[in-house]
Amino acid sequence: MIKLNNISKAFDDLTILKDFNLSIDEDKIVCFLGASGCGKTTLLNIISGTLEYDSGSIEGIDNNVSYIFQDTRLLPWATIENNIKFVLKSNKNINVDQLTKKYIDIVKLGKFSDYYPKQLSGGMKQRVSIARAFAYRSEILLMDEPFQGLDYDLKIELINAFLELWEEDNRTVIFVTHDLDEALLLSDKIYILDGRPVEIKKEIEINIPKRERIKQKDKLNDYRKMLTTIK
Amino acid sequence: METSITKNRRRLYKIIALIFWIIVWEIIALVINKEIYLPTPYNTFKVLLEEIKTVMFWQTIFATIFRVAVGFVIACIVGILVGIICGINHFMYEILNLIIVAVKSTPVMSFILIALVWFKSENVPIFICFLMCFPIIWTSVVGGIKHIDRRLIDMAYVYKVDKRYIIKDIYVPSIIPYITTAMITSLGLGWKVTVAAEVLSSPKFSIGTKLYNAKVYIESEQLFAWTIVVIVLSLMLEYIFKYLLRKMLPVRIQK
Repeated sequence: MIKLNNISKAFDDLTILKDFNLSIDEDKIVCFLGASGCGKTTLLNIISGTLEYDSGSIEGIDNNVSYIFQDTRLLPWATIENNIKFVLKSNKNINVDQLTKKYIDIVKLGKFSDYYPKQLSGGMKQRVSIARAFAYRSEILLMDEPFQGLDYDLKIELINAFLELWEEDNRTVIFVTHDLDEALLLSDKIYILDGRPVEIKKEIEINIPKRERIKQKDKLNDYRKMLTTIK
Repeated sequence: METSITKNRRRLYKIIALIFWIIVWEIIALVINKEIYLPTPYNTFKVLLEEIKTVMFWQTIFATIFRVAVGFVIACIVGILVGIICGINHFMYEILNLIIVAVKSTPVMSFILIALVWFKSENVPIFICFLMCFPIIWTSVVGGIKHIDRRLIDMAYVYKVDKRYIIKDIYVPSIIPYITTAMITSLGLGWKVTVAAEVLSSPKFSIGTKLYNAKVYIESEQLFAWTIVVIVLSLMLEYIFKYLLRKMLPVRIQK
């Protein structure tokens, strides 16, 4: 279990987090849902270790963390194969070639392994980013608005690719979004964040199997209404 | 097919342009009709052909090429290493930047005259070539490092990538386009300032000395012939250098 205990973070006079507490179950997908600028990404960056917090403690993140960025962050001068190898090759205990090939194949980019990011569409680039995150040996996967700016069909395609990888290689996923669809289709639990300093307004568990959610629109709409009312 | 036709056409246009300007030169020389001011292309190329046949000609051009190469290579090595340090460390940047600004603003002639006091005549052009090329390379490396995409560095940090891979796979490819452009620019400049320094320092074998002697003895054909040699060699060196860069660098990181 990941535990955030009394985390505080301020940028000069602006307090983003004050004594923030949260417990996240292992191998679940949890979502921080909130408006842009509410502090979701700050929270994610603190969990990833890229941003220092002022006080408090974090438990349960001893090992490596994968991160799917909104802007993919692929090396433009490296092929997609080398982009994945780049994050793997510092680990001497894994078979880099085998892992790279496996995950490129899972995201259905086998034919494009020697392509450069510039030659790929936005959706394909995000698939590389997802493959990179899963190929990297970690227990926690963080995602920052991973499907933002993509059209609905592409979003569904990527969500399915993501779920396929997650089902095969279960790990704790924490992701932030302001998109209700993304939150509803992927999450086991949704935390609604708001306020300054940010606090959890509500937490909702979604009890529909992830693969069936697109078909069960009515049930999903009930959750949607619930979330909209709170927001 | 179309590309090769376009290429051939371009080459043809270049040849026509060259012939056009030689004709203009011939006409002006005939109008002036004083070889001392402007020798005809015919006389100039005649002198040039006679020079090419001598061993001294080859000794002269290779001595100058050697000086340019030494000055240029030292400038590249020092410029890249010091540039990386200054790109990462702001204090070092401020220390070096002051000197670089001063070097850039000082007329090259001042440096040549100072270098004449400090060095043997053979080494003055090498020093001047280094001094003129170094600021260009240094500035571009510092600029390249400052423009590195921080988001890529953050990504590498999240995935706990070793520092050596961060340098090899992020830093180096990011600054290579800047360095190659700077190298091509500084090679052309280095060539010109080396010859200028040779004119004043007059080493035994050098194109600069040949130009100086031609001027002293009022041998205009010699002066023009050696100027043509300088132009042709400058273009050839740049062409060879660009070709080598194309061969050595992956297409993705060429500008």
